[in-house]
Amino acid sequence: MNSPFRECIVVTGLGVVSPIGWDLQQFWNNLQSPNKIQHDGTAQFSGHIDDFGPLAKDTKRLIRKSIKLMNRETQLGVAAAQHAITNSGLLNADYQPDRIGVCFGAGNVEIRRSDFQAGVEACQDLMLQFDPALWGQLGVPHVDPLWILRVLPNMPACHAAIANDLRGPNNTITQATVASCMAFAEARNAILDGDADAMIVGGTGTNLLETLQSGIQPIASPAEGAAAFVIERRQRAIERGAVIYGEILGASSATAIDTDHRARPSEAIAGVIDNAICQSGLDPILIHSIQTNRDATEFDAISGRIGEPPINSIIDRTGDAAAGSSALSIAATLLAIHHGENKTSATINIDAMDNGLASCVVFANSQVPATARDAA
Amino acid sequence: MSHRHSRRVVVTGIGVVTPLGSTIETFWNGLTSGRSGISEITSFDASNYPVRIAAEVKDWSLESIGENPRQWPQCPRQTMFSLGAGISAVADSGIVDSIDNPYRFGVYLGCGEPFVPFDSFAESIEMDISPTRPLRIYDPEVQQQYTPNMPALQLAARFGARGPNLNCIAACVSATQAIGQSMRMIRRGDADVMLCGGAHSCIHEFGVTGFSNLSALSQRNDTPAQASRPFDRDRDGFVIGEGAAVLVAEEYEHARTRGATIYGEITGYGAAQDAYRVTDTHPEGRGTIAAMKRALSDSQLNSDDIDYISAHGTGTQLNDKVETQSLKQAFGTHASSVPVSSIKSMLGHSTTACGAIELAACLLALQSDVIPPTVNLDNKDPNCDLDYVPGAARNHHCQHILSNNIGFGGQNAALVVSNVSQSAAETVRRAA
Repeated sequence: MNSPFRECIVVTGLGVVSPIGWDLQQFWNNLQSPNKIQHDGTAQFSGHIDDFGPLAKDTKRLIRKSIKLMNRETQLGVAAAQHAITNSGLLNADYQPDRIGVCFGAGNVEIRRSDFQAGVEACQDLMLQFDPALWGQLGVPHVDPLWILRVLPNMPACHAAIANDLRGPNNTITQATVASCMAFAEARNAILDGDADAMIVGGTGTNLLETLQSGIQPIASPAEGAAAFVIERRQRAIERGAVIYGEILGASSATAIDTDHRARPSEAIAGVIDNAICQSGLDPILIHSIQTNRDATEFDAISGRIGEPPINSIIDRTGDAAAGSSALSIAATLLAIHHGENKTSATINIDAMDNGLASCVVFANSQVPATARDAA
Repeated sequence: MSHRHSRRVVVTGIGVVTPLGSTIETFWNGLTSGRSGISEITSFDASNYPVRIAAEVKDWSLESIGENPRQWPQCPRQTMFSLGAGISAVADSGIVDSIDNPYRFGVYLGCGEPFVPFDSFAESIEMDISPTRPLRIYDPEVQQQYTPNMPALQLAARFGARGPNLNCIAACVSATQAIGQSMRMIRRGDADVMLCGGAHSCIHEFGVTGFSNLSALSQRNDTPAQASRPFDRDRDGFVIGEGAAVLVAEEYEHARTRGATIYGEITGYGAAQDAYRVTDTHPEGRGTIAAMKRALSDSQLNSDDIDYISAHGTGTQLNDKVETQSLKQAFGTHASSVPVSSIKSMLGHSTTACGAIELAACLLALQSDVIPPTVNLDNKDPNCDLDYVPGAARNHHCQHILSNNIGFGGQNAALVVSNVSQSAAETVRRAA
């Protein structure tokens, strides 16, 4: 625990599917441009095989065969994973299939009414009212036999594994907006614990739903999107000449909800930052910026602890795509490091929810010392 | 390379809500006496469905554990189940007074998707001309309850757990992975105490529709108690179950210092992907074999050290055949002598929760030197030729037990639990 000799895990591949672009350069340019790109929240993703990027022959065959089994979030997540895998050159890196795993962050998969429309219409009584007593006999046969396999939230991680023959550990964390940072933590630990040599990390989500997610606070700019990453040991990445987007210094999560169910998001945020600093050995003063989905005022409580880094959000650019947004935020952080925006230090990605959950990942430019260990 | 993990993880509390009972005693008595929890579905009108049977949690309410149901309006069944199991587990462990740092006390569950009420869902289709328009029929307070992470959050609120709070969905290995990951968090030093396990209920119009359309369910509607027949020649599918199990996983020294009762040590965890198909398990069970081997390797045990295997054993033709082959591959000659059983023969398949309920049974087997049977195994299948403990429970001393699970999407995970008095130099006995 907290070993100074802990192996460094780095990000060597990025893939994004977002309303402001799929190409990394285009995504980055649209984040940087002085004028916001207008969009309707959709990722302009048709679900055609070409949207999954350049693919090896076998992978292409497997994905083409499976597209009809994938719901929208799964397609976006698998496409982001393919872009990240291609970007990293992972499949030419000589890893054993057993040693590559997948960990995704996702939210709830909503049940689409369109899947049940024909069945419900078949169960109308003489007054054209739905009669639930008829459903078992007349409605059930109208539902696609494979419907239930489309609404399982673990499908992005499973399809990504199948398409690329990745037989390592495979998990999906369903903690909505805070899930993608949690997936990063779990994937990194899978490598540190010796369960895998490389991991695909992803986050996918949509707020373009038939049902309202929550009526409490209507989502200002609902969108869909996904991002995925390839992570591996730094030593191995250097040996194979991979591009290193950033190093994962730490990742943690915390909860702050009282017994009367009153949530305290700013305490949860303080909790994750404390955990991450303790875990990574990071000098807090070196945190160069904070990337978050939250309002900057919630960070007042921690200002004494980490200096006064700028607090950024990309939600106003990409729209709010639930678990997909936090993955896209992480992609933005890594691109910023890659493009030299964070020359001197570390960036922390923090997600929190109104219900008192928070999670974070701390990234550093692996060229620049950011920990007491490296500086010594 | 063999080294002991410097931080060991033990289970100091168990809570269950199952079709056979919601106390450790009723659950274990039910399992060891070979009772079936399966009967006709009562929670909705299933009389016209192709499948009309399930293993339901009956005669249980939040009131039975001292909760005021008015505090939990319209919360989905899995939230109630996980609260019930969590409250029982925490009471069983006596952990509440020993939490010195709430940020090192977390929750990791494998709860599935809660389904919205079917009638109002169907009504919404009728009311709305365009199926793409947003719906406004759900009360926002209620709607918020219908997210899979709500049970974990409710447990955190209840017990002031400010550490990691996660829920994973990996189909039928969800709870197995939640427990495995919790063990790893404690071993690694990210937490000292974790509430871990899972809850789910697919006994719902959506669940029965989806699984019966997949042709995965037993159609023995007229003989519910005989419908779940893992490893039997005439098995025809699984029976949907429901329930929850929550374990208190605790760092060993933490547990020992406070004089806690220890059920067993979680010594190994392994997960693997088939990378084959989302619909079927790999025909040679490559992911299942890998997961079991990884769990054994993580526990630093040999396959011969395992005294009992809790199988996934769903009762579908394919699962039981492939799982049997996989056990032979992973355990070699030991597979023919080690007892294997499936408690799904009595409890049905509680989907994302099954791994937690089955691990609870394994821990009780460690404690009682009894292993639960596979019931309804009346006719041998040549493809399933292991010792499945047919019909009746057996007295059998266990030092190490492996629990195996397999899920849709090619997910596989296994856990190993060990008797602490055997796995440690120090002897820690259950408080008399």
